Amino acid sequence: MYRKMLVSVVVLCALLAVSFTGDTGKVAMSTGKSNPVVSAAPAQTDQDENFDDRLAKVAMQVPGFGGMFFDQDGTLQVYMVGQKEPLSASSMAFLEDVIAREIGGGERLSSRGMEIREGQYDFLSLHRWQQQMTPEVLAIPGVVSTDNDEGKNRLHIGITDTAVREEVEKHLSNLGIPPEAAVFTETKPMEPYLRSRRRPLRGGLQINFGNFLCTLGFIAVRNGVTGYVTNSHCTTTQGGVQNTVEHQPSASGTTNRVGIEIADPTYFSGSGCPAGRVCRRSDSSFIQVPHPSGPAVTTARGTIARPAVNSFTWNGVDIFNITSEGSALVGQAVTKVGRTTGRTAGTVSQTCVNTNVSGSNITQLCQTFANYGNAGGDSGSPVFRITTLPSVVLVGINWGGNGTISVFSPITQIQQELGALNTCAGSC
Amino acid sequence: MIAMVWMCLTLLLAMTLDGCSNQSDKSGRPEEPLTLEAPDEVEAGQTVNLKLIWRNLTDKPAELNLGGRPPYDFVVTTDEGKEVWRWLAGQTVQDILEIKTVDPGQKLEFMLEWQPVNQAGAALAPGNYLAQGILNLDPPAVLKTKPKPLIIRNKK
Repeated sequence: MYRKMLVSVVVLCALLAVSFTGDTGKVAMSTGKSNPVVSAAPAQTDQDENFDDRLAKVAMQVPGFGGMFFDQDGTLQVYMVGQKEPLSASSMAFLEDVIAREIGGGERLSSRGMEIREGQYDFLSLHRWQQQMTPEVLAIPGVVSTDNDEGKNRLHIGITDTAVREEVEKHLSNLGIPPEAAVFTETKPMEPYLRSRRRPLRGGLQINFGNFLCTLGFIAVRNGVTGYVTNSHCTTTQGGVQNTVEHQPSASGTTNRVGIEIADPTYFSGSGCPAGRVCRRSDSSFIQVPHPSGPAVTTARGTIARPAVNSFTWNGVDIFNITSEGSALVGQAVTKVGRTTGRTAGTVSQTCVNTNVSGSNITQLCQTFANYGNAGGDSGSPVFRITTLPSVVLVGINWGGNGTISVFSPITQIQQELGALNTCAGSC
Repeated sequence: MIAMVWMCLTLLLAMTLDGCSNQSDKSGRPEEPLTLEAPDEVEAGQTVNLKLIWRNLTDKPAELNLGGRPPYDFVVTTDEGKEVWRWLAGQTVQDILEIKTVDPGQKLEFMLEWQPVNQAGAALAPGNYLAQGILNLDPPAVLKTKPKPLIIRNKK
C-alpha cells in the first residue's frame, strides 16, 4: 500500500513539476531555449560518484525520471514514470538541460533526438533498492551481478541458474522490493580472465567497440588527457576520428562504457607511401577515458596485466610495471599480453619492415616483426621487453600477423603520430 | 477425379518434404554448416569463383566470433594433398575479432575470384586438384570445408 502511495505521489509530482501538456515526444538537438535548474544536486565529490549517482542527480531534479539509454538509432530514450503522453517542448528542453549537465558534462546527448518512454519505477527508488539488495543478493551462491538497469527501468540480476531466482526473490520481498521490479538473466559466472570486467583499466584487457573485440594496449596521458592506446583498426574506421565508443570488456548499456576515440591520424599517400596505397607509421589510436557520458572509470597507468606464460587467465593482481619505453632489436625477446592468446613471448626477427595489410590498400611503414603467439582479438596488445620482473620496457602494440610472424608498431612511431605519451606510473 | 486428387496430394507431399530437406543433402545426411562453392571443372587460365558459405542450420540465432580480418582463407592442393596455393600465405592479417549474429536459416558468404596459379604466381598445370575453404573463429577454433575436387583442363 505504502509503495503504491509512494509511486502515486512520485507520478503526481512528475506531472506537476514537468507540466506534461506536450506536443511532441521527439526533439532534435538544438531546441534553442532551455529552462533553468530548479533544484541543486546533492553535494558529493566526483571521485566518490559513480554513474548511477549521476543518474540519481537527474532524478532529484526531474521527478519521475526512471533512467535513460540510447537506442540503436542513437536516439536518447528517457523513462518517465506513468508518462503516457508526449512531453511539452519546454519540458523536453528542461530535461535535456539536466541530462546534459549531470550526465553529459555540459554536452547535449540528444543530438539524434530524444523520446519519452513510460516507466514503472523512478530512478531514485531503483537506486535505493539496488543499494539495499546488493550486499544480501550478491552473497547468494549463483548470483553473478546486480544492477540498476537504466536501459530497462528495472533492477537487473544475473544468475547462473534459474533455480537461484526463488531465493533471490525471497530476499527482495524481505527488503520490501517489489519482485516485478527485478528482471533476471541467466549468465555465466565471471571468470578471472583478461576478457572479464576489470577496474582499474590497464594494458592487456579485452575491449570492445561495435561488434568487434580487441585488446587495450596501455594507459597513457596525452596532452593532459588520460586514456589508452589501442590499434587504429580497433575504431569504427581505421584512420580518422569517428568518436568511437569503447567498452571493457563488452557493451552492456552504458555500464561498461569506458572511453571515446579522440586521436587517430588519417592515412596518407605519397611521401614514401607506395603508389596506389595509403600509409601510416603505426596502427594506433588514442581513446579518452572515461567517456563523457559514461560511468567514472579508474585507470592504472604504467601497468599491464600479468597472466602466466601462454595463459589468458589472470588473477587480477599480478602486473607488469612499465618503467621505460624503448626499442626492440633483432634477436631480443619480447612479450605481449592480449585477450585471445594471453601472455606469449617470442623474438624480434626484423625491424623497420614496410608491410601491406591483407584485404586493404593500407601499408604500415617501418613495423617490427617477431614470432610471439597472436591471433584474432589480440589487436592492440602491449608488446614489451621484460627487464627484471615485474619491470618492463614498453616497445609497442601488436596489430597482426600471418600465422608465423607477428607484427607490432614501435612505441617511438606511435608517439610520432599520436604525440607525446606518458606511459609510466611516474614519468619515463 | 480420385487420381487427380491423389496426384495433387503426392505433389504437395513432395513439396513439403523438399521444403523440410534444407538441412540435409539428397542422401539424407545432415548438411554441413560450412560449405565451399566452386566449379567442378575449369579451363586453364579461366577465373575460378570460390565462395565460402556458413549457414545457421539451427532454429536459434547463432553467434559467430570471426577471428582476424579477413577471417577466411582458401587453400588448393593437388589431389595427393600437396599444397599449391593458399590465399593468405605471407599476408599480414589484422588481429581483430568480429562478433556476428546469424539468424536461423541465414548465411554468411565470403567470395574470392582466383586465377588458378601456384604460390609463386605461375599458372597451374591442367590436372586434378582439391579446393578447401577455411573460416577462422575465436582462436584456436577453425572451421574447414571438405576438400572439393577441381579439375583444370587444357584449353580447347
